[in-house]
Amino acid sequence: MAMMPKRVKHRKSQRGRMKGNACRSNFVAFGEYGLQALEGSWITARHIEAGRVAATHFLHREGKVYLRLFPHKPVSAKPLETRMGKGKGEPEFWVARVRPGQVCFEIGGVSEDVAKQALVRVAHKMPIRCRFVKRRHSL
Amino acid sequence: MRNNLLLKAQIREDVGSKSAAKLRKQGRVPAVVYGHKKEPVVISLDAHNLAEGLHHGGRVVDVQIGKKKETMIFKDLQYDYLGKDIIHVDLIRVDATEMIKVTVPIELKGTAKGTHEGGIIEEHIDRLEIECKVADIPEAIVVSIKEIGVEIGRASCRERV
Repeated sequence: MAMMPKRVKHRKSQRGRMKGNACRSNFVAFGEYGLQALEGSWITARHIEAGRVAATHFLHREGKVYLRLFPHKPVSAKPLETRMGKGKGEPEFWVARVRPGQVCFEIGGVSEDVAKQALVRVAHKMPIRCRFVKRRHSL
Repeated sequence: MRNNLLLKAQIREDVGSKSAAKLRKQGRVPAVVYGHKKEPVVISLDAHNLAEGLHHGGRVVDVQIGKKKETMIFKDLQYDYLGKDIIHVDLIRVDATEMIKVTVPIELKGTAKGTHEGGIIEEHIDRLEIECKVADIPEAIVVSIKEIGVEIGRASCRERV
């Protein structure tokens, strides 16, 4: 099932603006390999679920897949054939706000070759350009 | 013991984000040097030489500022938002005989027995803080994981490694 928050303070939110680059979550922190966003976008819970399924299916229960995204933001929509007005529509789906540089998925416990193949499959499910990244050993 | 990497530095006249951005456009990386109870000095390093030195695992460097040569280690590196380019470096003055605390990466060697039995290797610690002489800093701590098997109800084991 697609991810969504258990409880929120406000059911509906305004669209907001996404400026700049990712200044956190922009390096591989849990696994050894990751998929980094090169563009900013809203990524829906369905995208995330599709990516997760693609990775776990390819890995055949080997290794571990880490999701670095969570869809915190509700997106509302008006029903079809409805006149304008009468207030804001009801929440339709949930999205994660992703800025360029954010590491969206991580994989650990498998070889680089396998991780790359799995993350390519995940990248195909994403609505944005992504690149494969490795863990950087800090000083 | 291998030779230290030699980096030629220039003293920066201006500080601040605008002058740092200008330097980066010219192919240099802004850096700062401190330690040994001396005044901090703001310098710039050649980006290509720096990246090459780091790629070859250089941690202790000899930095030539003007005619003076000092031994230093990398204290901190800042990367851009994609983690590609180095945008700032912190260097700390050291002596070759001095004891210092550094973090060293852990390298897992071999294939664990448990992976053939359906286990998954999860590396919870990928670096260790050690105290050693500057001249003896290892590149990595190599750990053999060949003998680690799977025990039901128990996660694998740092103490056994």
